[in-house]
Amino acid sequence: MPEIARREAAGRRRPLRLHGRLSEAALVRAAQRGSESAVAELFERHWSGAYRAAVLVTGDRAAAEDIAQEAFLAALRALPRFDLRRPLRPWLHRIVVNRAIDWSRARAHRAEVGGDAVLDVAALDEESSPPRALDDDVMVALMRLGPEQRAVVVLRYLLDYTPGEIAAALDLPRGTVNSRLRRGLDALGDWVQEDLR
Amino acid sequence: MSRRELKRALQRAAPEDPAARERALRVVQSAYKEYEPRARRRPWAVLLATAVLMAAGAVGAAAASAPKSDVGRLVRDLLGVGEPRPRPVLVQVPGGGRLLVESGAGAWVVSDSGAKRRLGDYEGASLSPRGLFAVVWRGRELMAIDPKGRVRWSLPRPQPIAVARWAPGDGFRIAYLSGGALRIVYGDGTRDRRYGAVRAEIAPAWRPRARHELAYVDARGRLTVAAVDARRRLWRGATVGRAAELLWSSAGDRLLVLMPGRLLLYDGAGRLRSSRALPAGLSAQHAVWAPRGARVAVVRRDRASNRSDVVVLNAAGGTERFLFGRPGRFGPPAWAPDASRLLLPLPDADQWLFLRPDGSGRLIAVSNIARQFTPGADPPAFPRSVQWCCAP
Repeated sequence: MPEIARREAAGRRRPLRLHGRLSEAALVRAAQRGSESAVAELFERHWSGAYRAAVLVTGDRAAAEDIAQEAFLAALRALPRFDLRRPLRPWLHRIVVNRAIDWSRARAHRAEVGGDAVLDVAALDEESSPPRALDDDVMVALMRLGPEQRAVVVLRYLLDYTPGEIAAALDLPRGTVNSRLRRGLDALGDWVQEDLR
Repeated sequence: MSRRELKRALQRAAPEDPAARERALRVVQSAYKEYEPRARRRPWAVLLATAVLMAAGAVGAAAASAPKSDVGRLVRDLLGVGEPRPRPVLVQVPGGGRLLVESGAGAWVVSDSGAKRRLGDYEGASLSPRGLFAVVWRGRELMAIDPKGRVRWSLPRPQPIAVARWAPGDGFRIAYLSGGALRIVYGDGTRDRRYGAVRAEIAPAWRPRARHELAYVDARGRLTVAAVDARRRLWRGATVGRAAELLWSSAGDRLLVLMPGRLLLYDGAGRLRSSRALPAGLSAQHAVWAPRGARVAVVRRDRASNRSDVVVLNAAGGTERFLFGRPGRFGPPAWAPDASRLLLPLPDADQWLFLRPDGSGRLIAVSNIARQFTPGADPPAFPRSVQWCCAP
């Protein structure tokens, strides 16, 4: 049984509260019944991971914002029929990462940026933090990879999914996930040591 | 490096953006208000909510979906459409109606037969709802004139006038900016009063089909909608300090905030329905809603290639229609009163282009526009803007 399926099965017995916090299933159920605070709590729990994942796959903050936002809107649209036995987090991240891959492919097709260029998009409003260049070494190394490889690295090392879960999320053979992870770590070069390879 | 250290490095490479989080949360919360709780769920309501949600993302999604534009552009380029043989002079307005033209030589009215009348040496002009008058400004003076250019009233101000807009509907109010302040004057030139401090570079927008409700950007850059007669703020939106244009739909049910890289769409109650970035490299230059329906024409520009295009977005259905693209800048477009045509200024080509918004029919191009509206000037200057008004 794939790991993601095992986790989903385990989710059927998830308690309503974990460490004093409402469980995700309880929050989803509350959201289904009209609780705005439950929606806000789900957003707080998952926005950061969704947005960061989209930034790392696309290299574009504005696109990442749209992609993460659209994933949450998709979740709202699916809310009435959402199966409470399934965890929300991987479902949401699957949408984010797949859309980020699609966006990156489309951008490459349009050849709007060349080579290793990494876009920086100015923040929307004056009160927001000033625009920052995505010139971190890790980001530069990531951008040398294709979007599919970036997605695998992000799912594994940012969002902590197992290779089996990544394979399920991206609809890929597990061997492909492992090989992309190896290539991703090679690209990250000096940033990682042998114990991660 | 341990796995934990790599995770931290990835997090540092993609830091949180509090403003993005705030914007997204507002959109999600706004969308959730349409949600019908499960316990009281009615199928039609869920379908309606879904439709509203889908419509909410429509404008931005359409703006951001570049492939359609590319296909349309490719077809136009391959077929050679979009470079029509221009007419040397405007002998009639295709589709009828009158044009109010702001040029370097003042304001002009063009009748449907193509006859041009120079109203005077004004810096800007805005038509009254039925086109019977225009409010014009020059330096520190605001004036109302009739179509023959006769001044009906004049209002001197200590500070220069930046822009003025005549309220739709009853036409009883005019909003104008002067000295960094928003001021309201009655349509007959009386009861001029200061309303508040605003961003001087952003024109206010009257809400159609509402009683004297005005959208403006206050001095701190915040989008604000107010009922000006009662001096009551109705709602406040995002900080949009870089906003280029505020645009109400003809039904007054949507407010589009056009920024160079982003389109914000609010509903009439101030709920943010969509916040969408344009594709990387493209910036939104101008937009204008059709006189009826949910269509909005958006002019976009790719700075790298110095190429512009115009697309018509349907805010209700989420569709996008590519109309025209070519190298150079485009001016602000104008819809015909019956929405049957779109006038697209091409300053670099010194042409006006008349397009069918559904993409059908033949393009009509008129050349020598600058010379027609700045006669005798050397060099002639292309008009800044055009308003297309009601048939006489």
